[in-house]
Amino acid sequence: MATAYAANRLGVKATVFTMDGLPQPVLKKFSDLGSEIYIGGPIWDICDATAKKYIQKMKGEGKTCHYIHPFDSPAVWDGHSTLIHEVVEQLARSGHCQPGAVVTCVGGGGLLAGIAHGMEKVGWNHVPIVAMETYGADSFNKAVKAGKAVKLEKITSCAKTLGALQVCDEVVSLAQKRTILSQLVEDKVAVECCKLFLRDHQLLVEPACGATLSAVYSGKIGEYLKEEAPVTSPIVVVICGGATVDIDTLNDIADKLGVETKLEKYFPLEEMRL
Amino acid sequence: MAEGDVSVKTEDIDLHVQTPLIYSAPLSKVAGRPVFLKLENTQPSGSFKLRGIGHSCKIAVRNGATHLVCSSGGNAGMATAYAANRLGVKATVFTMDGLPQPVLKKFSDLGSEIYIGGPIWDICDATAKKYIQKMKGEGKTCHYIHPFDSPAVWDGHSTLIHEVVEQLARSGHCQPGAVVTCVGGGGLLAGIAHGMEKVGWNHVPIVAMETYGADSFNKAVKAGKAVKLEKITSCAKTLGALQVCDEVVSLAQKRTILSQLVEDKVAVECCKLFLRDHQLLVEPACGATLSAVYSGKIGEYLKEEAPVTSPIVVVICGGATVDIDTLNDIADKLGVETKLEKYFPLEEMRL
Repeated sequence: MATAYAANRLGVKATVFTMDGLPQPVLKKFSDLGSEIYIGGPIWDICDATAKKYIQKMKGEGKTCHYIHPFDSPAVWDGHSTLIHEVVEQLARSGHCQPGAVVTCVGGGGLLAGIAHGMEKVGWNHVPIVAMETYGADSFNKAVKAGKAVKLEKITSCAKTLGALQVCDEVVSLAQKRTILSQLVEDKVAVECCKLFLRDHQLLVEPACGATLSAVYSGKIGEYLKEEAPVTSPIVVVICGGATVDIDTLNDIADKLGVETKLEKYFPLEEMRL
Repeated sequence: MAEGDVSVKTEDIDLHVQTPLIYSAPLSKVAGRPVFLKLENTQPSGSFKLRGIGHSCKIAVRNGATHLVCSSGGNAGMATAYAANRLGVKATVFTMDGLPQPVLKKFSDLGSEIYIGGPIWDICDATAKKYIQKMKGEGKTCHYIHPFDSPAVWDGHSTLIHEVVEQLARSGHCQPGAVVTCVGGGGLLAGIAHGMEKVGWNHVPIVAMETYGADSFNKAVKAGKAVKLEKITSCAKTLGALQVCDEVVSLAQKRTILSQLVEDKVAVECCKLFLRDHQLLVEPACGATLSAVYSGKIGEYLKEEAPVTSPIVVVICGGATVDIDTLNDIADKLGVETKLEKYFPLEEMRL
């Protein structure tokens, strides 16, 4: 989606390879952006290989295409790191010189790498990062436990955008150099958090982002941080967003997972007669 | 303040945030020209109101207020509650009718008191003022925050235009062909017009959307003076001012403001389209704004007023009183069907 958007604004062509059929609202987005989109294979590795074969084929026809890696590239991490520079200034305007922690989620590790690099540049190396994943899309957690990148057999989580079988080496290396607290949450909790967030902020985000939010909504952020940050220090949560979510699909997943949003009861309003 | 934090004076705290101006591919496609969205829904209180109300509240607190009172259970009340929470003062909000649970939760989360003040805004506002008198009698000073009819509020709202100038320039445009917004009491419209005057965009038309049944601005423009509606019959509650402020009636006589109306059904449909296209849930008032583009009529609205390929800036006012279940109920009652174009199944490429 970002490649298609960038190509549209830069006035160049985009071709995207995906793994499975996409819901209509997502196809509409690619169509609005004028991007070509094909199925490249049933898993990312095959899909990525197809993309590379396509580039070779085009080269053979005298057409030069440029490959954009979705997450494992220093240029990508550099770009993502800009969000931290913005946070420094924005947080200062709210009266805080640093956060107690930054909360995010991990798919292939591109965002995590960008955040960590940005934090290093601004002198926040000592500030812990909480890195959320869902069970069934936990390649980072497994890598942290093994001390090296581990390839999952398959993705079994509904949080598709966390679905990298293996994280990039950069984040495995970063986890050994600075505090990154890897935590896991169930799909059901992640999806429930998407619904809570829609209620609280009118923003519809993907289950991957629901996983990020669960670190706070679960009430466990204090427990995750333990000794790592002052208990009243502010938390910055990176709302990664996501354009592959649509309300109907999310509700279907929520129903299948048995998500019930427990709404506290607020007393009817008192009328004031004066 | 937590340890390690910089001590900040009230006057230094920014209550509103600088919001993104984003290029919308789906809306640009419908409009046939670049469409940029000013995302006021990303304000911490959920709508643009925090700009003007936040400004009013800061002035009040700077002058010693410790208790803020606002006659709105809508976004102005929400902005007052948010401002009071951040400024460390008390807030009491008077609203007209029962509010849905998710909205009550927001006021509760912000620590604001909220009461029903009356069945229509005039009575509600009168109750708010009586409450202030009553508190005064008890030796407690409350400060009244007007939801829209105040120069401080317009000043605060006008800051969004200053941001747009810089953001639009970064996208390669020195001015828009038009700015699209909606009108309730006229506070946002006044702020936008004032901002545009300050930055030299007086000649740029504003398209001001309302819904049938909440059309106090349209009626005022036609009559040449403020007109009081008998009642609000639109589902777009946050457009529901019986009478617009005089300021916008006056502005409509001095610069181009194109007043257009849309049915509730269309406004609500646009909320659903916008959720599909941008993952943002906005109120029917904002749906009315969006209908200017989604309907395909923006060109017709602008006619000779702007070059046909000039960019449009749409102010996404947002709104925190919307929740998905209530919106879907309203959509069902109105018979909204979201006609989704069929996209062909993806072709598989085998290489």
